[in-house]
Amino acid sequence: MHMYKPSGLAMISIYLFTIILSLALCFACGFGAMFKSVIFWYVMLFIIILTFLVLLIVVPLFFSQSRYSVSRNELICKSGVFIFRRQFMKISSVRSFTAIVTPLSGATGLNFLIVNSLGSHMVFWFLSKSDLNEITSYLDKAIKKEEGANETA
Amino acid sequence: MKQHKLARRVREFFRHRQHPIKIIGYTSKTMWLLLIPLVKYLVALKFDIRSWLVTNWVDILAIIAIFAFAWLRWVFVYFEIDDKSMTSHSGFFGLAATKLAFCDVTTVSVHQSSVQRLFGASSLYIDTDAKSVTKTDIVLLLPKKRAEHILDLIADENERAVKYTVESKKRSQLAFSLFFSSTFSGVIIFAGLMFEASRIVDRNIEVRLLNTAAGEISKYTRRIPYIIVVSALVIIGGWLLSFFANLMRYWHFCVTRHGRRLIVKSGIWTIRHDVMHRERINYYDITRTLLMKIFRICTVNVNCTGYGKRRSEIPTIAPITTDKEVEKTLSILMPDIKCPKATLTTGKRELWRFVCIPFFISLFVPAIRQVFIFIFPRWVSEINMIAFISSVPLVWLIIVKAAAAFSTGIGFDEGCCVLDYCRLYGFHRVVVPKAKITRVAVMQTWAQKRAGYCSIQICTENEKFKKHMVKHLPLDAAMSILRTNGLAV
Repeated sequence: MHMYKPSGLAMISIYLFTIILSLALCFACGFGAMFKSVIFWYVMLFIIILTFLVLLIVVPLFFSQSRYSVSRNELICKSGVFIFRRQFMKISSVRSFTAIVTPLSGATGLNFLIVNSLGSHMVFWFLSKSDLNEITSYLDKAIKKEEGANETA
Repeated sequence: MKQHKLARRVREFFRHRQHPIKIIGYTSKTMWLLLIPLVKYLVALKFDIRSWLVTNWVDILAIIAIFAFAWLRWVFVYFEIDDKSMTSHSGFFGLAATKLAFCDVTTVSVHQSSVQRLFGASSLYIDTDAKSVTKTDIVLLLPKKRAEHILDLIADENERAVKYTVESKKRSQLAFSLFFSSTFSGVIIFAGLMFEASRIVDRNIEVRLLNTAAGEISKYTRRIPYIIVVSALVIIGGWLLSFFANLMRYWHFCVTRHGRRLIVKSGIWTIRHDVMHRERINYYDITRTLLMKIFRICTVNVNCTGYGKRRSEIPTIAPITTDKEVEKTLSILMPDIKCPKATLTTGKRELWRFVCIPFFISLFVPAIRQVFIFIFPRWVSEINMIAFISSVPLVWLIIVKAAAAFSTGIGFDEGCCVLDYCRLYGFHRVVVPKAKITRVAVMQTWAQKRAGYCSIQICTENEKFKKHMVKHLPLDAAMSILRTNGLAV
């Protein structure tokens, strides 16, 4: 059984992205507040609170809770922030998978894997590029093996 | 000889085309906007064709162009068929070809509406488990005989196989229509009718119809506010419409097990004939509401790709049956999927967990009422009435959830799994073969984590993403039962 964790680089990327986005929104609100209305100050306050919530609670909780494991017979995915979820899928029910590799994902860790079976799917969030390659090549082999077995039957 | 050859070619051409009535289906809906004024002009000009042509030649040309385009589409859409497969060429100029093998077909249906009956046409729907096509794989409008021939070809059943038929009683069909009619679906049917009518005429008809009806009723009920009369009209009218639609749909309902197939026939207005491959049925679901539970009746639905997926259809195989009869019906129709006993159940200890969310939601009603009275002090009577009306379903939900605490559970045997759960107002008993389970999720909220409880979400093979959630089970027991059955580690 191989265990995987979301990439630390992805955590840093999310932190950076959230900070940049909230700063941009705060500047926009500050600009609006100077010329238009006081309501923009309240919006800015809301954005700041939301940013702190995301940075201090949601992201660390998500990254500490998430674990993925791939074994010969099954895929297991543990994740969740407010609702903790343990998902289990048999390798034999996997029909296809979609690997999402973003630009510069080697540095950002923003790689995702969606494993599809009939009527359901499982998402592996923020994998490092090497982990993603390892899992996809394993799944590829497993699907081919399953197809071979079906054809023989 | 040449003439004979030509006749054979023409016959061959028509054999592989849809029913010519489909040409009207391919015309643009906006054509009616042109056609109705044209007919009006013709009548106004007392059928003076010459002046009619002179004044309306642009519109007439547009209509001819629309028909010519529809005819071209009809010519290019064709199908080929052999002993084991079928290819349908569809889309513009027949560019998209869909080929499917008969052995992969899950459901094949022939539906004939009363309008189609006038022209001897019927719709043929063929579905497979292929997930790349979310809609029906092949849809064709064919002459009735041709459609039935293709259905027989696909069903390809051994004639000597024994047939087991379950026919539902008229009384049951009436009860089924009563229980499964809802204002919401009636309003959708009405809105659909109005939408189609407004595309042809204009929206005024809808407004005029509602206002006239509300005006007539409010003459006799002067003391009731106008808004309440309109709401009541929509609710009662919608429900009645839905009731009659259901009655029409499920009258003469009968199911037959014939070899590996399940054949369902029903309907008066639209005559339906569906054939399902039994091995491709993903699960069956014994559904009931609280009232049905009290009267010990239920309905049995199945999940099979293509069956009951068209608008306003319910994928049922037993519209209404008593709790006593359900076992017998299922042993006749689905002998391979046997219902195991639920070994892990909830009870009195979990009552508060089931009831708490609807209870807290229902507390919002008086609070929101106070806020609205503060904002709109003149509308107190209307606000009180709306608050009362909205609190009724919430109180009912609390009662339903309290009952759910005593009818939730999960159980396995060697081949199948049973899931007893309640979603909103409906109670479900889903029986699914273990091989059809594709994903299991064990979920815990913070409160559940502290108390050692969990909810189990099970997904099965399905055309869409659909989950069955069994809530508030003790975590350790749930994990142990899942592990024993190879569904968790």
